[in-house]
Amino acid sequence: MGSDRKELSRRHVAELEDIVGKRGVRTDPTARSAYESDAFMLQRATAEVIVLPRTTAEAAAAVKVLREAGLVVVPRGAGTGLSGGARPVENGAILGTARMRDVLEVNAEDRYARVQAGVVNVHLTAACAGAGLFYGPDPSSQTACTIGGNVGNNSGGPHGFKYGSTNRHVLGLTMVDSDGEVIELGGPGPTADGTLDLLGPVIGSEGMLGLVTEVTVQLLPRPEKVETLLCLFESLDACCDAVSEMIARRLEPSAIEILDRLTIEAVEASVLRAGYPDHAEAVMLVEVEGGDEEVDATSADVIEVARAFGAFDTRRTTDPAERKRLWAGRKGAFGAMGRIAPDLYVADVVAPRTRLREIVSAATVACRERDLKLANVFHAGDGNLHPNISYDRRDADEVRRVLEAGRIIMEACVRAGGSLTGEHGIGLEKQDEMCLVFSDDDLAAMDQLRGAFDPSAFWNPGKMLPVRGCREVHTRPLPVEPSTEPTDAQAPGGSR
Amino acid sequence: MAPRAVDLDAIHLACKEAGVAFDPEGGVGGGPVVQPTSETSLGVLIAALSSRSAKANVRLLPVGTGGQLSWCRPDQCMAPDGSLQLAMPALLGGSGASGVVEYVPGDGTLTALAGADVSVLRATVAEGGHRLTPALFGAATLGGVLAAGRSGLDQHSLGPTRHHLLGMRMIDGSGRHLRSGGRLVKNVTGFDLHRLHAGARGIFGPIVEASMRLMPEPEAEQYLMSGPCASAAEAVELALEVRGATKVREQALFVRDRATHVLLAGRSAQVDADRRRLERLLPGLVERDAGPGAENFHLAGAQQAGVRLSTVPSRVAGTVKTLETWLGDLASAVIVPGVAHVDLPTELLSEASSWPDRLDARLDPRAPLPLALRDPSDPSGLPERAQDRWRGRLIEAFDPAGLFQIEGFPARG
Repeated sequence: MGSDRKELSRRHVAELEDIVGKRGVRTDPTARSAYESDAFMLQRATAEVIVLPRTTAEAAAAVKVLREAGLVVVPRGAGTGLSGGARPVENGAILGTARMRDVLEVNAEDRYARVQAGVVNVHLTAACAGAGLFYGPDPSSQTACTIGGNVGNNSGGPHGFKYGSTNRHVLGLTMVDSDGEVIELGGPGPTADGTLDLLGPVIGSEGMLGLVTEVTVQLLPRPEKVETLLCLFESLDACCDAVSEMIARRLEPSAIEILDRLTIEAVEASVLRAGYPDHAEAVMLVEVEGGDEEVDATSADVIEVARAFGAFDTRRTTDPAERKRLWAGRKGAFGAMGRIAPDLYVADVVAPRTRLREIVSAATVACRERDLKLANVFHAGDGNLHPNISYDRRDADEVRRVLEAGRIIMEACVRAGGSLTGEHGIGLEKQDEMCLVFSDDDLAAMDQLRGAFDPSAFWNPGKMLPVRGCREVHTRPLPVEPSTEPTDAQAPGGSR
Repeated sequence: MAPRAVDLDAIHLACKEAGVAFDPEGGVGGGPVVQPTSETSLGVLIAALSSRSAKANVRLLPVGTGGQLSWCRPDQCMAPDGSLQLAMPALLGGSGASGVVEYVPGDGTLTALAGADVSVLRATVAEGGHRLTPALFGAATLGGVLAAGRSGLDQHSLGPTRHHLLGMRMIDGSGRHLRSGGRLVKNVTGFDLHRLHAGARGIFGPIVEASMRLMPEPEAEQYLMSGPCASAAEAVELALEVRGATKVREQALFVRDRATHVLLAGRSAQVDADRRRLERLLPGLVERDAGPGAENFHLAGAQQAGVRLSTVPSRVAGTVKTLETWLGDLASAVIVPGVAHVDLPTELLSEASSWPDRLDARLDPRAPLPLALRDPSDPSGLPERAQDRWRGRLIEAFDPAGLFQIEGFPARG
């Protein structure tokens, strides 16, 4: 234990209990152990205290106490993050939004909602469904993840292909800064042109600029018609190429997802059985939304491309129950992989959409060479790949090989002009790899941005930015290399 | 405001050190201008001016076409009183250069130099079947549009331009070459410095290059206009009915000349179906030329706007009704109900000396005139708040010498 260990005095605990109630302050080892990591299980730490306020005012008051106590704070939503961003800082505090679950306002006329940060993503859409509206971002963990957490990671989801990530949907935020001051940024109306867009850098800042307590989001009108398409392929490569061709043809479905054979098997063997055929090497799940005519025309085009690239079976459905079943399989895919091995490393990288096959292939080789089991399920339409590597964390050598493969996949993406993360964030997992993408000056500027919002490094210190200098980790930005694949699509006729 | 004493020798020296041409009268409006032809020389110039800024008393203003210079008063950015224009198109390297760094049709992305002409970029990507937002015609550069926070007619359906910004390269006030984001349609790697630069009017240093997400060119497009209404407020009510009709997917929707204007875009069959629905909603519907005509129509109104009111959609009709009571005919105003903007032309402002205080809507400080008008929500005189401290520290971090600062921007609060 280091000599700078901060301990919470009984007085501070009592003050916190006065603010948030006894139920909102947890210092017992059992409770604290439940917060030792987020969904990135490879790194754990124990917080000194877990504080769960119910309102912005409580959060602001709690911050003042924690600050006086000399603790740093890690904001936390549901802890579904996959990069360690919500992992506690040893002997710091967790400030969680688990009890901030109120939908404060749904304004159907102006199409916005104001919610507390702890509202679960799917509950927001449920709350506005009666008004014929919905909330766009739909991460696969949407039945558990919170809107505040989505803001922290700028989360996307399958329908991000059409609707974009969280930053396109947030209109305003209420935040608490490191002095315990409450700040309002933006609001339901358009951004005034004479002000800086401070929402921009805050969204996706992984809890390092302050605690978001309330969020105002835009709502979208429900589409007239939604059709889900299932296209079955004998080859994962062909499936990837079909997606690249759909992008090249400028087709506009709302989601394009790919699941490979191992994922299909895991899903079909689980309670989430979606009816994906077990003889397919890859499944492409596509959703098309809009007016009747638009959906009919776009679905026909999608199927034409899929068939041109070798889809041996295609299905279309507008039946809500069947659509729900198909999507449950996709969204539950990570959970279903628990059948394969006790632990799952979910990589999250982005490739240019012209180079999907190349990166999937690099991931396959990296895992094969290290005797690792790889399953692919990803947001193909966005180029956001999730190579999932099954492992057992009790096997130290396997953990080493998993991390090595993860690094190789990241490097392949960066060399192809891609990036380290599309929606899960950098957190603890990819700090050193930031040096693959950014120069020392870029990283110093990012640190200065952080310091402008939080000069005392009170919020989530030691995350996202490399703790060691890039020279120390012997890494520097990688050059982008040209594609090793033919530039034209491989289908008959090529790209339009 | 008394002109600042500028040390021209210091400017000359910095330009010489950087190898950058200086023209005391060659800028927009006859102002002094520097014309760097490489990013390296621009960085050296900024660093040199930054180290001399206290003595030289100079401020550097990145300028594209100069179309948005209304954000600072003429005596601050046009005259040789200390504001030196930085001609960003000079980095394109000569006449005829498009400024396109990379257009990847298969990925639907465009990367271009900040000084690139937006209309040239739009023409380039149109060849590959794409559109670049904002839908602006006329003189504008990509960097200028982004720095000014401008959006176009398509904001109604696509959101503001900054939502389509994927990444940037920029040079800060110390001359550092920086990068943020990337060229991908999805990416959350690192802090979004580029989002901070969008709408920041260059106060953190010039944008050098930007990457944008592109939209597919629609299969069909129809520009439709209702018959004239008795008032602008009535046309707004009609427009809001169109917005509320979930079976119509309008690309753009605005009011001008007391008529409701709708741009439909998408699959051919869908556009035809939406038109049939619109015929039931909008009396006297007529078709106009689609495409550039529609966009220019809006732009003409937006360009002459002296002031922009922003509210929420449900309050647009009430706001317009109030304005018509006070100001009379609002035919020349451009009203975008879905985005909740009301752009009023300059000629109405002479009669608008008192009404803004009575409106619960924000004034856009971009408006050049009348300077007496102030945002009613402007908290001047209030104690400093966290946002103000953040802004102050951001400026300190990225422009420590104050080389790029603009008086009165950003607004406090």
